[in-house]
Amino acid sequence: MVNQIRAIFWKEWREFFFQQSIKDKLQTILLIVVLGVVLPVNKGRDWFNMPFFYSVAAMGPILMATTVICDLFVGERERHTLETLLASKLSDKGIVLGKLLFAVSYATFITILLLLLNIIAINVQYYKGTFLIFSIKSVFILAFINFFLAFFTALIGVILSMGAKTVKQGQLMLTISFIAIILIASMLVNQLPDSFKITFLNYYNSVSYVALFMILGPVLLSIYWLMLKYTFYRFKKLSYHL
Amino acid sequence: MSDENLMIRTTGLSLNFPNVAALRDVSINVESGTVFGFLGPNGAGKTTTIKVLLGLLKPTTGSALVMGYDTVTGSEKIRANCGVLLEHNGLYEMLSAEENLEYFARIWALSANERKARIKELLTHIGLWERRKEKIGNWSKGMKQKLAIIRCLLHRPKLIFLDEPTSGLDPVATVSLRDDLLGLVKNEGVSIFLTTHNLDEVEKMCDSAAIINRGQVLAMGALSDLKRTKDKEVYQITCNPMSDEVINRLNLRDDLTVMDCTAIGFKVRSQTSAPTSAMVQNILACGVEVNSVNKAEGSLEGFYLSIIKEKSW
Repeated sequence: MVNQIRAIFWKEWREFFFQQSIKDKLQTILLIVVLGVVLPVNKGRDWFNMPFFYSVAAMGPILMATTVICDLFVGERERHTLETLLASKLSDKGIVLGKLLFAVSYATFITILLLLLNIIAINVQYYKGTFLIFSIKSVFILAFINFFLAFFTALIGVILSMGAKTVKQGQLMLTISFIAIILIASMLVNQLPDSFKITFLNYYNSVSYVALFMILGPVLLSIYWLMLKYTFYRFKKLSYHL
Repeated sequence: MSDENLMIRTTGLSLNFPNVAALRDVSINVESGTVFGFLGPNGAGKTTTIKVLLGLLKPTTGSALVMGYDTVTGSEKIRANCGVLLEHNGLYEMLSAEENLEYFARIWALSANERKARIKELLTHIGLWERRKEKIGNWSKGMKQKLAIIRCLLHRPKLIFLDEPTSGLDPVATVSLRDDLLGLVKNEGVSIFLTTHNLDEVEKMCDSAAIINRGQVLAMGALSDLKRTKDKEVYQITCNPMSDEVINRLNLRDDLTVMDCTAIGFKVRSQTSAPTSAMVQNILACGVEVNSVNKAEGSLEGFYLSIIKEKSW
């Protein structure tokens, strides 16, 4: 299984650099420059202490969802390469896990790239004898947000895109779905009673990050495990109908 | 024949899709070290049979053993030990030839040294080693097919499935691919399960064959046996030039199987047990001005056409 995942991971990274059109590459680069350089420079030398800074961890997964996810399964089906993979030594689980790992690693790579650009941009603009950088605690929070958001986005993206007939249709479906998820989530949060929000915020401020990880980690892992199971099921169905 | 000598054995294999019976009671044997042709028109059930043999589809009834593994319980082992070229070549057009092979060599867990040596050996054999760094997107279909075939052989399988490998190729590319394939088969000592509707390909490559139509195997055996026309003779007719209308009239007759039809002659086989004179009368009735009638040698084409016509409903 490890060999299979490694083989797919190797191919996906290799293909990714050739697969994207120049237009797509430019879009990605532009987004990285805006989020990695323009935004932090505009926000000022306190950028690393602003709550908004943590949103950088979400950019990788969002970029991943809009660029690579659809191509992973629907693209292979569209190009008639999936059939050959299914007829090879690869197991269904190997294929799904290899592709998910690539998606998560892509999201993480983008996040790391953005953080490095943030450091360079802020220090070039605002360096006054002290090197400006985020705290170790921030690194853990960013890693946590990035990892769980990347997995969530990848799983949701794969599940939704499997129903699409073409990559373009899949991308459209994903964009609409993610907008709907964000809108519904913000509407639900707005509907919550103020007393509940205050209680929650008080709890959040009082609880340590370690405790938060200990509580959230197992809950999220359980949800992802169920989503992964469902992804295997959907993939089996998709491959049966090839 | 003992099971040890068989690469593939299916017994009463049937597969029902909603509204259609894709396979009906398919029983075939493929001997080890041979090239087996699975002949049939489009939609006959050839690709479906391959999918069942690879364990990608589960049969509704019946069973199949491939290399000794049951297709339901041992499908992963079958796929791990076979090579497959399906209808679409499954190559990654944005990657180079070398990268395409490297990917599948990694899937089959070949070591780095083994991968390098094997890729060089196979690409050299088909004369594409010098072009290994090129992205294959701009390659001709024939070159891609060759690459896809050597991809099947990377892990030295004992059995390969080829689903219409020369489909869509021009005659030169077809001959070149066939020569390379036969060379590789001789070199590697593999058994081949070849599906095609190209009779020439079967005659030149296969030791034995089965004919399938509408999910049912109509005939199976050694190629020499299939070619032998037992109860019905084939005749070579020469005639004065025929119009298209006359040719159409001939082709429409249910009691005759017309083959190799040109303006001045054709081969014919009677579908009934009527005497030769009656058959000639029928030909004359179509407006053909017959010059001569001679016995012709039996051909696979003749057998194929007559059995498809005879057993179609």
